[in-house]
Amino acid sequence: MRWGKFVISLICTVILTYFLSVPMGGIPFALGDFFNPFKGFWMNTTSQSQPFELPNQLPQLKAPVEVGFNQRGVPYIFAENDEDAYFMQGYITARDRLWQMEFQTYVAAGRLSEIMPIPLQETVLPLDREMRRKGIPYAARRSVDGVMEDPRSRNILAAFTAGVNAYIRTLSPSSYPLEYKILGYRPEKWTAYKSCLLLKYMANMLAGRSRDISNTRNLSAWGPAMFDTLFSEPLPVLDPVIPEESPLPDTFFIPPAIPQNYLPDSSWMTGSIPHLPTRNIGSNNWAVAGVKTSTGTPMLANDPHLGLSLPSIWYEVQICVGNEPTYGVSLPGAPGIVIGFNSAIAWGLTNSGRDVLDYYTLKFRDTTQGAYWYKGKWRDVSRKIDTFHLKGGDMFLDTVMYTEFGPVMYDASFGDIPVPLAARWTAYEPGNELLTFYLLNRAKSYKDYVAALSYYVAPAQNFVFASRSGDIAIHQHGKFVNRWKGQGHFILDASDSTHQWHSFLPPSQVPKVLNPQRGFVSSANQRATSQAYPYFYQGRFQKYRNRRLNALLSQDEPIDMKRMKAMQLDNFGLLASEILPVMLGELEPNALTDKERIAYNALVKWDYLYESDEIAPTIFQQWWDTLYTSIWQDEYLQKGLAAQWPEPYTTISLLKSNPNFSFFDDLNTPEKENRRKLVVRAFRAALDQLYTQDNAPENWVWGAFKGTSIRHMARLSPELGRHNLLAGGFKEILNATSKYNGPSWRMVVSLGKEITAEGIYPGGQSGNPASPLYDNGVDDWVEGNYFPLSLLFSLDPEEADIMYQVKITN
Amino acid sequence: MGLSAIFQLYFPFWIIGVIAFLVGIAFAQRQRRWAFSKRKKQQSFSFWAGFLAIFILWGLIAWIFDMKNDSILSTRMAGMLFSGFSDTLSASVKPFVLICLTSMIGGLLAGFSSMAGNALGEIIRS
Repeated sequence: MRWGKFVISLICTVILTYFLSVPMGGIPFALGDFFNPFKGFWMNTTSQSQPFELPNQLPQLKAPVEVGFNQRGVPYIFAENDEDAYFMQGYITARDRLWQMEFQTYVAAGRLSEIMPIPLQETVLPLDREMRRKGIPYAARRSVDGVMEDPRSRNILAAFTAGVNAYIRTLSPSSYPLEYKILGYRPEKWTAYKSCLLLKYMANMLAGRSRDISNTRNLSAWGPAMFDTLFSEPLPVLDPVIPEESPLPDTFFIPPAIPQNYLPDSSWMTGSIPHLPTRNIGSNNWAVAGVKTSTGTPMLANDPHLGLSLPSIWYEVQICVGNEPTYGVSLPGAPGIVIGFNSAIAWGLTNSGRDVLDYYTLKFRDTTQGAYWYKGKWRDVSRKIDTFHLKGGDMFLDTVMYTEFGPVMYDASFGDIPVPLAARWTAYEPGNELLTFYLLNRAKSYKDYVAALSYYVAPAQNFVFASRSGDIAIHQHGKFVNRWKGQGHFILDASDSTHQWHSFLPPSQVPKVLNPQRGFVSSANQRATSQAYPYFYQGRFQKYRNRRLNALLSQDEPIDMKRMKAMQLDNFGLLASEILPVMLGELEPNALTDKERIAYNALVKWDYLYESDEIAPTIFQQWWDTLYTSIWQDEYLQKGLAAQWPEPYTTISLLKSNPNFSFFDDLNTPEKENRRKLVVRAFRAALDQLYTQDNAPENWVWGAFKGTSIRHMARLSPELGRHNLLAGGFKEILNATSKYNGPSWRMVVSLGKEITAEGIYPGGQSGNPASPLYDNGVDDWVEGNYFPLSLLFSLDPEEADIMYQVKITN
Repeated sequence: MGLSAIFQLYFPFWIIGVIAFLVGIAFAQRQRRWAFSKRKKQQSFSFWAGFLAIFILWGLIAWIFDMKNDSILSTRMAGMLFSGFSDTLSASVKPFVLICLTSMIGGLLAGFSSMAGNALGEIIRS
């Protein structure tokens, strides 16, 4: 009897303990560990009183360092030398953002399947394989070599890495950031390779897509003449980055000759493309010369539009070495400041959109695929086995072939593509982007800026520049291939030596302009140059934001900081303004039902502003999306064609110029449609959809319809993000806030006698979901407010904004 | 309670089970010395003693953390863990539910351990 009681209660205890100590039922953490208030998530709560605590001593420092935090948690680091400054940047960034830093390197290295919950493995493993097959880890390893070549970049990266690791060593399982506890893993040691992975993560996000496969399929499906109609870029170039009257590069490199019959065959028609380029990421930047500003001195603005996430992709920081402070945003995981300003200059970035990733078909000697034909010889393929250590203990092996071009990304085992394709990408070229940022952070003049850019490889960017001495400039920098006209537009043939990349353009040949006549420089991901530029390039280029931006910048009134901000927040829909009158013209106002008339009237009155509380943008967008889809979808479905549809700009040109264009016929109906029929039908379908889905027109307000969402970086739970934000703007609009993408950092700087700057990003400095500084910027960002950004030369106790400061001895 | 609080700083959560178990044994020994209790009630008494000790300890600690944090994290965590019926809970109840759940987990484990320890103590005594 007594034994019975003992055994039963002991069994209960053991079973309970077991259930509490192992992750079960899809939950990635053990309940006991997670809820234990001495170790689990309760330990991640922060108290308000001392949110910025740092140690008073760090033996790795060479000299004492002072650090202050303002009330938004922005660190001001004052160090006597570079090593200490970047050591502290590493330490503090890790304190605030360690999980995110490491998570992004897991994404880049194709290691998500090691940490993500087992039920997600089927989704995550293909992403991991894609990253590895695309050679992101390979590119990062080559990038480490580039960084290590120069003592300056080697030192700062080593110091940063040491700082991150010094912080990691202070952690124990109870103090791991929350996400480690949720996912049940632990931080690894930081390395230089991980910082380079992060840079390649950015390169992949911004320059890791190519339309070669899509273009090839479209060409095969529609033939060369129709392909030109559907996919050629408009001429003359719409408002290029470099104004047409600017001088061309002084020395011409001869572009290679165009090979005969380079067009690919039609075997490319089948298969599905894993990823098409997204239209929603891009950026704006501009600088205005003193002649156009209210202060008589230059101003600069930048807002990179990226995927919105919490923790945010940016981390604000001021780093001051000696008496030279630089303020701006950094990428958590890399030393230095990426976008910012110092006491002499300001700079910003937008993506170039140029295609720097080509795919090559390979001619193999035999079916074993052991050797491929290249430059008149059979070359051996080297095979590398990639190992994936899946969470839960299983292993997955993937064999990847490597060629002279790069890794074979797609083959029989990956991607629905008929023959193996090797990738050739500028991101594989060793570069030294860290050195560019290191030098930009210290630049005092246009000359320093040009020198800094020469080290930059990928992802290619438009670097806007303004100096207190009065210069404004924009250079498009990155490693660019000297292409023959058309090279890289379609799939290339590795066995044909004329198809290889012949040479790279030297930095002297990049598109650039200094102090143009018009008094401003700007970029918004459009083509960099007019057709007079002697080198061929292609890519994905913006057609709307650039024209709107330049129109605003060309106005005569003097530009002040208020107008600089108003331009970033501009909600004018240029696309809508160019097509809506045509669409409305096709409707018969007298034939409309009452419900239709409400929508019609709202559109007629609309000023094309995508304000969050308006219903007109919702009606237009629903109508336009329906129309756009009805034009292209039937033809693509009929051919079973997995390829990109023509751009909205081309679609609008066709709608305007050719109302009876063949694609306007709906293949699903026996009758023959034209523009009018499609437009009217789309109007009815769009309204049906709106009335059923969102009921009465009062509920159609744009902000709610679009519902901007800032998701958690690993999408662990909606509770860790912010959703249904009522923000104005949209893609292809200066305020490029779409559902999941938007201005990830807004910055305006006035470089007068005093430097004044304002900025905001939709997140907060802390990566800890328990902190009030996790998402404190979100509401102000939605409202279009900015925070003042102050450049400090010392931690003056009078400086109102500094909340906490500490002197750290060595 | 104090003992497990100290041990908790150095050991995983299951240390509370071990401690409750040992306390259960010791308790049975003591009962013999003073011999006050009716045997039948002892089992449930030892369960509730262990349960309450840790229920209060874990709940108190969680509650203090939560107060200092203005319930920011507990609201998010409750939303994440109860994602199925999160909308039915009002924001002010979420932290309370989470603290109770924390207490329950610790309490149950300690309760069963204490009961097992007590039963073993009885065996040793006889």
